Amino acid sequence: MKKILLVILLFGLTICGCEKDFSVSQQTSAKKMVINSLFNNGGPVVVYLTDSYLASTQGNINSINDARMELYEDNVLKEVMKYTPSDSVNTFGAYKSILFPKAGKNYSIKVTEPVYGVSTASDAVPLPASITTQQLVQYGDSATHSNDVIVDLGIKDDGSTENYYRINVWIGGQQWFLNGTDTVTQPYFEARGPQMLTTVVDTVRDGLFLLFSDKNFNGQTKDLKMKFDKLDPHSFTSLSIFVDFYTASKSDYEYQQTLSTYRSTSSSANSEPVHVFSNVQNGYGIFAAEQYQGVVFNIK
Amino acid sequence: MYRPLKCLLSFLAFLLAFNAFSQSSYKLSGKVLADDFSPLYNASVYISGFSIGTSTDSLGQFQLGLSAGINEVSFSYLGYRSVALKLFLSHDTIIEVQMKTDFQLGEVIIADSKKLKAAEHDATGVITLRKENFISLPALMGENDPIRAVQMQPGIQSGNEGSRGIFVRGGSPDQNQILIDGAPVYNPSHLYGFLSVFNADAIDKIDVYKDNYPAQFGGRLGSVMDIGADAGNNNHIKGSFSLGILTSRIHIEGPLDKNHSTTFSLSLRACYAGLFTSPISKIQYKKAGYNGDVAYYFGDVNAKLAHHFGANDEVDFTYFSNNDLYSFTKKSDTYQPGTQVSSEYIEKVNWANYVASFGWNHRFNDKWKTHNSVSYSQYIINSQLSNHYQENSSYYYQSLYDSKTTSYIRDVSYKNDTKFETGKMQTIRLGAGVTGLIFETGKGAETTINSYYGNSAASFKSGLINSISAFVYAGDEVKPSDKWLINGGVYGKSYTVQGKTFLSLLPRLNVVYSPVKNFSLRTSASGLSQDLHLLTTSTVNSNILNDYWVPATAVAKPETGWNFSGGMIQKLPLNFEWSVDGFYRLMNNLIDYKEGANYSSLNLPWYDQIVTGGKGRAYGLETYVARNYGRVTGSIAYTLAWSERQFTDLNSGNYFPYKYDRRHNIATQLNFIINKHFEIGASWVYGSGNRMTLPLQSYNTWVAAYYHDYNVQNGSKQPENGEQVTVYTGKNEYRLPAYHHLDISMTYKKKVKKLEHQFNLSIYNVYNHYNIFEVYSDYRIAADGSRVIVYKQLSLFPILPSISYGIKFGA
Repeated sequence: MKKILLVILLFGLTICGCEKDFSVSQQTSAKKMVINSLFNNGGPVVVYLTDSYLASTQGNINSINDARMELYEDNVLKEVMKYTPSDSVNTFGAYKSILFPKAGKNYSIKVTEPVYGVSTASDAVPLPASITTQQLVQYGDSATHSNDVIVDLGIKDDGSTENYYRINVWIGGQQWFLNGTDTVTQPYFEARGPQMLTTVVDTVRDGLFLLFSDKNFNGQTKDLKMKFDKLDPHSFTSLSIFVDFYTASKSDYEYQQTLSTYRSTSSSANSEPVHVFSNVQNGYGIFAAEQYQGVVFNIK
Repeated sequence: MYRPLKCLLSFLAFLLAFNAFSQSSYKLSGKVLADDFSPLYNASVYISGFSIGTSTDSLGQFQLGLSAGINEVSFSYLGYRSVALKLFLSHDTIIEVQMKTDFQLGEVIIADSKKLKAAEHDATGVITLRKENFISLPALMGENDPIRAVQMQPGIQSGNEGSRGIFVRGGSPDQNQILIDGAPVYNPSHLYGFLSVFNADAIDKIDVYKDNYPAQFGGRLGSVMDIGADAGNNNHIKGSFSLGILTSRIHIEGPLDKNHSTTFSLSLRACYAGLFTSPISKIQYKKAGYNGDVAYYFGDVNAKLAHHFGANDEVDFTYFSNNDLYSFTKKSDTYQPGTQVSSEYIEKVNWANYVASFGWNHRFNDKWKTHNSVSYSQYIINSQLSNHYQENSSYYYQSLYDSKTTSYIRDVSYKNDTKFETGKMQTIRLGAGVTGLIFETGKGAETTINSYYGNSAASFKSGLINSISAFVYAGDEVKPSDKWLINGGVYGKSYTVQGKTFLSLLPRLNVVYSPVKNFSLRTSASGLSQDLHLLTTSTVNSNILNDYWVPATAVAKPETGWNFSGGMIQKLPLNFEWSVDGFYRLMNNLIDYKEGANYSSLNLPWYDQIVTGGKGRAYGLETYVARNYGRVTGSIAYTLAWSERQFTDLNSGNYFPYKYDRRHNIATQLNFIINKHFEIGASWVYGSGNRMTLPLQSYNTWVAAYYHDYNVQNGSKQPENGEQVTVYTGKNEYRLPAYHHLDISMTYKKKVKKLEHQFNLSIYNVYNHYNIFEVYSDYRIAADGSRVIVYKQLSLFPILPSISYGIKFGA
């Protein structure tokens, strides 16, 4: 009987032990301001200003509207950016500048807020790449019944700096189809990820953009050949390919690169943590610049 | 998976609490010392009347099996007067023989093995543990694990609760070379650390090198655990048998022939926990509403055969294997009007070590000896996973996933080790060898049948990586005077893998200076390299089960490093000793997971998920105080250490703490022989918590703003927050709570006629501290219905009493 009681005692102890789970004392960390701004020479500087929340909670976006946001160009105060709460586009709330950034200039912001103190960030707008060629290489191939479009964008890379480029592509035109016996045309507009026929390195492909570095053509002229499939020549009455060609700053590249990795891996608990790049001092987020150049290939 | 593993371990703990044992032995062991108490290496020990003998190791230690009664034992060493003793043995005996150069008679101390409890630390920094050290520690659930005894030494620590590895001076488990009779053992644990694979019955002694790396050792950056298997006594057949609820062991040893020139030792151990965990878990799962069970089994075999061809030749064959099987099954069927859902989850993991070695000792003369050995070692792990789901309602849906994976390491080695005594104060050691390594880091196949996404079948293979390494070494131990001992050498190695050859020349130097009797200063510098890497994860779901071994390749180059060490050791009156050592270790060519890597990914090979070219440094101070002989024995070891890593592409290129960076580590043990019947013991260990990367804050990106705006403009009352980004601490910046536990044991012995009855009570983790085995993320539902992430720790071992009863015969 004593032995049975002992067995029960030990069994109870061990089972009791295995059921114990304890909360790990999560390191408490202060909330900080979050600056989100990717700006280019094609428009004003827009800064979204929010705050962070404890990682273990499902926080809501909390817009900060009482901050003083100073915008500097080459360390000279140019403007105090205004909060625009009722902007028809930015209901989220944003600080928008009057100034349009210029290539080669350095821009910085200083954000002062009663609760969070002062946060700063800066970045320079890269110089534009020199576009040397812009040509249609192929549109369809009757021999192979190919519906591919191949275009070539030639650029001259600035060898004095480390450059990064981002390409977004839009395809637009008029497409026709048969509606019963009638021929009908309608607008066609589609965002496409470019399929590169030219080798580029340090690539980041996320969604519909392609980001890469000049590591394998630094200081050289480079033909960037891009292919777009399933564009039947007989289906379009008109067709254009719009290439948004950005020269990205290093901060922009690192942010996009790490954010892309984060997006693709963060859903798995078994993935190594990804530190998304931030250049904000005393805060989180990104303040990064790009140089925009629009290139249009009129195919048909 | 965690819950079943947790419960399985608890069952094991419970069942191990009742374990009976019995054992006996007749051994003469001890040390041969010079007149200044320094150990004599290669001193000859002969048994008159038998054509057998042995020689002392670098610590001056020896061991022989002897008959009961009177034995004549002779000790000789060049330049010293021979010592002949007549010993009457009725039990295991340890002696110390101090030899004299001035023709005075040697001094002999007959020690009682039952009073020797602490490990031996010699002046050069080598730590030796013998069977009595293993069994003097409080048992963990009825088992005296040799690895736990090793982890009580300064600078050596366990990774965590239930850890499978040992961590020496800020290094990782892969940086420790574990050898059993010269053959490498790649996985030293059962059930990922619940018990080590080393059966105390089959182990004679363990030499641990962490300060001083003699030239004959190479291949790892951290330490060497040189385990000697028990060859059995040459007197008569004897053995022990234990039968427990969870495990059973049998050990038998002795001579095989009339001349007593052939001896053997055979130890078998089996764990059949599954017989209990399976039905009990079935009941538990049934209560939870589904069918399932969890089961675990393992078996060990240790065998050694030795034969003496006269006094000059001896051959031995060692075989060691362990085989583990873990399985978890969960099935459920639910019926609702119009809907039938069935699911089945099956996981089976099998892992095993197979090690065999053959050795030949030849003595050309008293000055020239050679040892040749060949060995084979394989570590293999197979896993099988099935996850099936079927739903039959207004439509039919099924998702069937099955996968099988295999990975293994195969190691074939040859080694020659030759010793020359060129004078009474010098020993030269030369050697060479070759090792072929076959590394399969993961291959397998998976099939998916899905009503929505279609069927797919794929096989994947990380790639078989073959390598070959050849090495030569030369060492010279010189004793220019009574106060100096200098051991220098060089280890040269070539490692060829994937068509690329890496050459390394690794110098070794160890200097011991003894200005006064019983006090020594020591310093050493060692160049080191290794051809293996260990990948450790820093995720929230981090535990030691996820550590992953890979070979050095053309890209993930062999690790190299330097180890510098210096300190002192002093023997004090009343059998006390103390030591202080400082160390600094540099490591190069380390690898780690890159950000975003997923260790559980089947189709993304490990070499596409790593960063290479990392650097590491570990440094610290360790102190040790011990009383190693007497009725009261014990030791205190304290280590203050830092261990850091640096990679260009991690942590912004800054140094970060290693996962197993332990700032403070304390290990104490105490044994008290109250009288001839009662003995008590206690041990307490403390270690700073391990490191991990912890989420801190979250924020929403600019993309979120657009989603938010879009939804608001379209009239959504609950606009989505869009994309969230989590901000983490720096890599491994967060330190988990400290690891510590107190264990005690009480033993009562009584001899009745020829039998000694022994009753032991051990309590592990007396104050029931919940040490972390694993941290994982979970959710709880907040008052407003939202999900909130919480982080939890899983603890394995609460307070665990264990009782054992044994009979010892033949003592």
